[in-house]
Amino acid sequence: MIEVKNLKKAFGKVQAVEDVSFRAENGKITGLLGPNGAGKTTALRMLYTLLKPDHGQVLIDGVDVALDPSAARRRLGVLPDSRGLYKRLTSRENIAYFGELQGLRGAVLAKAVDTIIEQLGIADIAERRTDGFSQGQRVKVGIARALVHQPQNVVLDEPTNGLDVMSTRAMRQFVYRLRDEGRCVLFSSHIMQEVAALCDHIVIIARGRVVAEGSADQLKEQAGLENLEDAFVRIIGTDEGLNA
Amino acid sequence: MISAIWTVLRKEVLENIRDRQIMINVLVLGPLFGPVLLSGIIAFVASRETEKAEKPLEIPVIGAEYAPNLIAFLKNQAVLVKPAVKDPEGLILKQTEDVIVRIDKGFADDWRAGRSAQVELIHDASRRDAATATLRVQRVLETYSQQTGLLRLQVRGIDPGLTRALMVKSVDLSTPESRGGMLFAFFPYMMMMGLFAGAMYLAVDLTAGEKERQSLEPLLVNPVERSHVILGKLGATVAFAVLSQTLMLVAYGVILRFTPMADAGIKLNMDLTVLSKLFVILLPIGILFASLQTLVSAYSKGVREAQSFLGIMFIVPMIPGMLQFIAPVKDKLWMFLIPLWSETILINKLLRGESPPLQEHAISAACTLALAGIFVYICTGLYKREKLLFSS
Repeated sequence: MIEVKNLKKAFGKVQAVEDVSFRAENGKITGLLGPNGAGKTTALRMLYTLLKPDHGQVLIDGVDVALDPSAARRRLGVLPDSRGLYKRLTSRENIAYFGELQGLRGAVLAKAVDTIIEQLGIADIAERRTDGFSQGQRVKVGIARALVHQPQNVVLDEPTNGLDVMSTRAMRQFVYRLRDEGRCVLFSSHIMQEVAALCDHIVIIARGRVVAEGSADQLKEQAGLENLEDAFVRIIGTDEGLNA
Repeated sequence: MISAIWTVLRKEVLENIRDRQIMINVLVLGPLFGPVLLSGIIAFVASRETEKAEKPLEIPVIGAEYAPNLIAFLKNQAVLVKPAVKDPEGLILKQTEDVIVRIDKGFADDWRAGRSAQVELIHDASRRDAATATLRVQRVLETYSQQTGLLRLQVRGIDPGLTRALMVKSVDLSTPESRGGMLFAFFPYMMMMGLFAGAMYLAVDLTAGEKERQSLEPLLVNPVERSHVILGKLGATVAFAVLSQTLMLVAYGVILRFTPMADAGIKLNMDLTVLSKLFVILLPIGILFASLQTLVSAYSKGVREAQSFLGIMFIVPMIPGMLQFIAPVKDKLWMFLIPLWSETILINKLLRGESPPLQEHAISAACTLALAGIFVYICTGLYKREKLLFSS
């Protein structure tokens, strides 16, 4: 479970995150929806310990990331906004490297790498160097190396960015599977249809603040509109930076 | 904690062994640049020296008819007397001739009267390639002058020794090695440049390159201290630097063996003992350069910026060598406190055939490693900054 309380972050004079609080439960897919530049990535970066919040608290399974970042990171699997692979290493070597950094060794590591390769269905590209991989293949390897240690909490920052229809479908199936295994999945996107279709709980962020949250139906009700797209636009106050 | 450093180090080594450009730098360009250049210079000097020494001198003489005895003497001394030329000054300036002898019209009269007869040596002292020829002609003429002078004194019954108030005898203690050391004063910075070039691309690739390839963020999400990440990268850079250094010394040893150093008038001892001593002297420098390069690249916004910074810094290792070449100073113990300067002195001493005391080695290595330690410390601090991620 991930709990975020009153996060604030400024870069110089720019207040990237004003006030963000939400909770992502185990066994649920929580969607972070907001236009580009709303502060989603900055909020996530504080969540996965890359940035220090100016104010607020993040708990991962009850562990305060400010107090014990290493313990928090072991409970997290993150596909960040930037997701470069090591081009001169094979998929397997990329995954094993992160497994080792997560503290896995020897036979346990080898087993973990095999398992995640099987789970993501990338056995056919496991022994290939990642140079020249398609966007879909890169994202899969990126997710595999992020989840090699089978973390309870999974954070995916715009995972479907640049994916074709088939890869997007496969991604959704994988996310459902993570949920059905009882994990906590936090998913960010600026594509409202995707979030609406996939997520059990939606947190809408605009201008660095949480402006609404709930299920898709609750959000429609809240905005008093039947059409989800209209509801989003009304809640956010503008349709700038959103994709249908 | 150690194991995280080791994990990063191993992965960086594996990944970069597969990078052709980096391996060419580490294995070929860095190690071979110095030895090949040096060997080329020596071979060039040697061939010119041989040519100059063995080639008969061909000198145009103007007014040869006024001094037939002098001409006969010149021919005796293996000087080929060429016919008179017009506009001798022009020929020298155009570099058609190295040196021209002009015998004055009044030569015969002065000679007979026992006055100093005038002989002009027309040459251009700023032309280094003509210096050997000029010197040789000058010596032949002076020998003739002295011989004749001695005869004149004897004829008048005077002891020629009277004209020499001083008898200066030069006792030259330089050895062939130390004369080689003079020519090789630029040796230390050739070596340092090789070291600098060897690891540079790697240091840039591991830090600024990783930032640009967007793989730093996912890396830092792992439960690993950032200082350990940078120490692992530094370790990999040092490993390649040491490999590059070893190959460079081997290349010096092998290539100089096939270089005609004796013909260039020098002797340079580059046996296994000297090479291993050089290895020990250079090791702290390799670590210093690796940490400096990692620091600069980690600080830079991207690969291009890192490369342009390091391009300028390329000059730094050359400064001590150049200064000591232009204005040689007698070394004092405190000088061994200055990194690069101290190693330059040590390498020079070693190549002159001396063996510097252990104390000098120890001070030099300790100070250089201390500076490297400061760079590493700043570097780990840099990796803890949030800005690290966003500067690209």
